Amino acid sequence: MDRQATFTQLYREHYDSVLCYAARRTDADTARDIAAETFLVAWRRLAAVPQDPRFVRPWLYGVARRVLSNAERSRRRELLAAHLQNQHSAPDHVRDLADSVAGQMQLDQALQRLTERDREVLRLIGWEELDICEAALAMGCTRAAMAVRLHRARRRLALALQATEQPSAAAAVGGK
Amino acid sequence: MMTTSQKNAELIRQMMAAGNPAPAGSLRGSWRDSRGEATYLRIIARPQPRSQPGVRFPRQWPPRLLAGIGAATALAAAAAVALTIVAGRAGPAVIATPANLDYHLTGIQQPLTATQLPSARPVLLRLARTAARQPSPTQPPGTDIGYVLTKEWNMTVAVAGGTSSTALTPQLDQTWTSPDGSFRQVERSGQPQLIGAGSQVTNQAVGAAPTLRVLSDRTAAQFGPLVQHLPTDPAKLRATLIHDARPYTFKSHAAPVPWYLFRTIAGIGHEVLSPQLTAALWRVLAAMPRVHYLGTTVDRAGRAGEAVATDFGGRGNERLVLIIDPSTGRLLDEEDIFMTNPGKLTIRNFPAVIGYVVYLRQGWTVTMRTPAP
Repeated sequence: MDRQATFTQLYREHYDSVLCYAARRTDADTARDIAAETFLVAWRRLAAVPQDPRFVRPWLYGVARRVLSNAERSRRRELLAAHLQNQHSAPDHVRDLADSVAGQMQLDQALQRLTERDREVLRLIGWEELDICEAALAMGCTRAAMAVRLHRARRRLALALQATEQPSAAAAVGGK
Repeated sequence: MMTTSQKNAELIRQMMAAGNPAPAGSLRGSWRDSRGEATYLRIIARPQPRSQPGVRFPRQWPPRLLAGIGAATALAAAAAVALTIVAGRAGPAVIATPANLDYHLTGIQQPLTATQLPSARPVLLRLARTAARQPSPTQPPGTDIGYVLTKEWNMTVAVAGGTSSTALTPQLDQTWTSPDGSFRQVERSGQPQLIGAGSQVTNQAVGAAPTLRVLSDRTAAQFGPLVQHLPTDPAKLRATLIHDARPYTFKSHAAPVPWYLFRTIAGIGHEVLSPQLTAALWRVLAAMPRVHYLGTTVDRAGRAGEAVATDFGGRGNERLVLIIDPSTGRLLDEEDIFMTNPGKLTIRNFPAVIGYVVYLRQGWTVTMRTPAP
């Protein structure tokens, strides 16, 4: 299969997933930009895309994560610059919140208490539904390291949920 | 028995599900909405990195994939990539292409433009009647795997120090399709035939050893319609084929409907076609505008055929040709031709054949590793 055909198949199969990944972490418009930039990287580095189809999506998530990180650094610099100039800055559209369901809001509050790394581990496993190996690829660490990170992130989430007064949810994640 | 990590993962999924801002499936189909399409087109418009020496230049579209997506533009871009600098300063290299087949129209002098060619309708209706009279191929008990053997062509070019070498590499493909839509294709490249000799370096670059590649996929929809689901009523068949081609097309590359039909027919030619379905396909084409008769010909396997064609009219004025056996109504060949230079292709003469598929054999077999007799 030639290069463009390979890329087109990649795009068709995984664009929606990458867009979902981005949409779970930022606003809708930025999510589109993140997805576009991710696939531009894939186009330029097509030879680096894993041959094993199981690892293509995690690889793309790894790229998207770095693209998103760069975008957020740029936005924070812009916000800081606006603040320093005493200008009214536009709202930091981190992401749209889900509807006001108590559990969802408290989950979100609990997640905000965690480090970004813990949040990413939980999102990759919980929302992107990757397994340990795939999540390790996406985050650029070993499988063993990912297993440890997942265990710790789960415990920290449980503690954070307890702090937001969601005992039933904390029990569901086995907080000890 | 779940490991601790698996248990952790499952607990996390249960808890995180309620707070998912973009649940699975909520953005399904985004790849082909207006923004997804625009992103795709913007990306592939970027220049491709230089290819490696002796890069193979395969047919631009596996017939069962990508029907109609930017065909002319993609071909021109890929052809440019195929001119690879191996070492030193390279001058322009002329790409050699397979010989054009000869098409004969009684009493009419060739070559003809599309507007001068007669309609293919009478010929296609005759071929449809011929196909409908054929007996259904015998399907031995226990065999439900369709098997098709095709010969295809790809081109390899290498450029170095102002010289170039071009080789035509024949490719033999075996395609197995099961009733559940699973699919296996084995591509085997033959010995490259050097048709434009350059330096020792470039000759070696194009004369790579034969390769074997095995493709398999379990997604029927990805490879076009399964023929057992296709209606044999021409009107319903036309609607189904056009509908099934839609996922593989983008609005900005809108091509005439006959173009999509030719592409799809060439694609499903990799499955075993019944005489009734074959007849229906020719009746569908007979009712379409812009389908022309090129005349009689001898195909690349030495078989007599009747050639019908449709033109895209885009860059390169691309023409698709289907060659049909007049004695059985079966599809023999597909040819892809640039009638004019789409841009910067250094091909000596136009019209130029840029790809072909020769359908050699079809039948039924018991496994996806056994050719049909």
